[in-house]
Amino acid sequence: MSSSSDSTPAPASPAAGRTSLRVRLLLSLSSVLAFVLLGECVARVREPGPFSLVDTNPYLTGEKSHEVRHRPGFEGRWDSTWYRINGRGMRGPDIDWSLGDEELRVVCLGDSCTFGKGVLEEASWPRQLERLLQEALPEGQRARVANLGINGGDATSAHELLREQGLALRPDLVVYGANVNDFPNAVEAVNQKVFNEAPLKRLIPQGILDPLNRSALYRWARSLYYQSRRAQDWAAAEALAASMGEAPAESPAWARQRARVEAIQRDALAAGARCAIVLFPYESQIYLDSYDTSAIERLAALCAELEIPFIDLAEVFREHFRSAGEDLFIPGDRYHPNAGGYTLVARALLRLARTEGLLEAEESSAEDPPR
Amino acid sequence: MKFLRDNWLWIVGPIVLLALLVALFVAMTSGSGLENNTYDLG
Repeated sequence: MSSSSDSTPAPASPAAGRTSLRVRLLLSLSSVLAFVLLGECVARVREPGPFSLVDTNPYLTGEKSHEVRHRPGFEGRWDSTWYRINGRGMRGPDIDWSLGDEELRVVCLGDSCTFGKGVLEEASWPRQLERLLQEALPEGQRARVANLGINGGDATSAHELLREQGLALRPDLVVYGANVNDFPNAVEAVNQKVFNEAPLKRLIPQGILDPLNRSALYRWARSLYYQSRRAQDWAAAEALAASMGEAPAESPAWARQRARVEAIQRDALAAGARCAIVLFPYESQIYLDSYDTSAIERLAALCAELEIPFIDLAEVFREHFRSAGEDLFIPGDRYHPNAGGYTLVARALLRLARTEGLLEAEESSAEDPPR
Repeated sequence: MKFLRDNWLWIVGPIVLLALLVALFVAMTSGSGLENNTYDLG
């Protein structure tokens, strides 16, 4: 009969136990790092454009927010968008603008919705408009469209860019893409609401939050979170819209906005160009059964008074959504249209080009909105 | 392979914990989707 002590394993030494724990901790750390790296790569593959492992800053920043400009010749990824900036600092390829007079030239001003945040350059509405115009022009004539949109822009920066670069291109049409950035106190109201709803955000320095935006994995997680709270965001957007429209017409804020629009129109007309304004919609205006129109009516009235053609893109988007049922915004984004949304913008401006006499009118065409 | 099988919790557990922490952090610092319109200009 054997002794029980012969089958009992020798107890592990403390040193062996510590080694085992260290190995396991190292295994855990390696797993987490591998997961983060893999997740970051997958998130970057999901974003449009060539793959890049890091974000690179495409901006030259002045002292004031409206002095932000693109780095000429820049190419790289920043904040979910692939940037390809030409030698003039505009999004798009380098173009020889010194060609002949048989050209229809359009200069596009505005913010990220004109720039085309989140979509490839060829899907932005200025580039789509260029293709549509080229198809509509007689043989031998060319369409050239310059995208002077810049993220975070407003009417002040748009007017500056028009004077810095746009007028030198001798445009036939200047289009300003207005947005919520243009309405008095709108950005301040949004910022206030965001910070009120995110108490932890007030405790974390912006210097820590900003680097997180460099992570595609973080951007993806955030867009999933935003997508999960669409209904709440839509309700909040409608409340903000109502407050934007309430600012008195004689208020200094609206007076400044009027002055900026007048300045864009004045400079465009002085250069022999027509001027038009489109107002970009946001999600709640498209997907809810009804929405506040006070801010739209305010801008439309201003354009009517100044005799500037005005396109309410909310109506364009709603008509298309009601008939086709397609999503028209980037997932998790309340403001930025996707490529399909920008197609609607380009088609609306093609129709405007016809009514303004820049193109021959047609009885009906493919770009007419579905009824 | 036996080592990995025997220690799978040390591999999966921290990943799950990290994912939950990231989700919580995003929810507490993102607030509202309306902030999409405030831009990161570097």
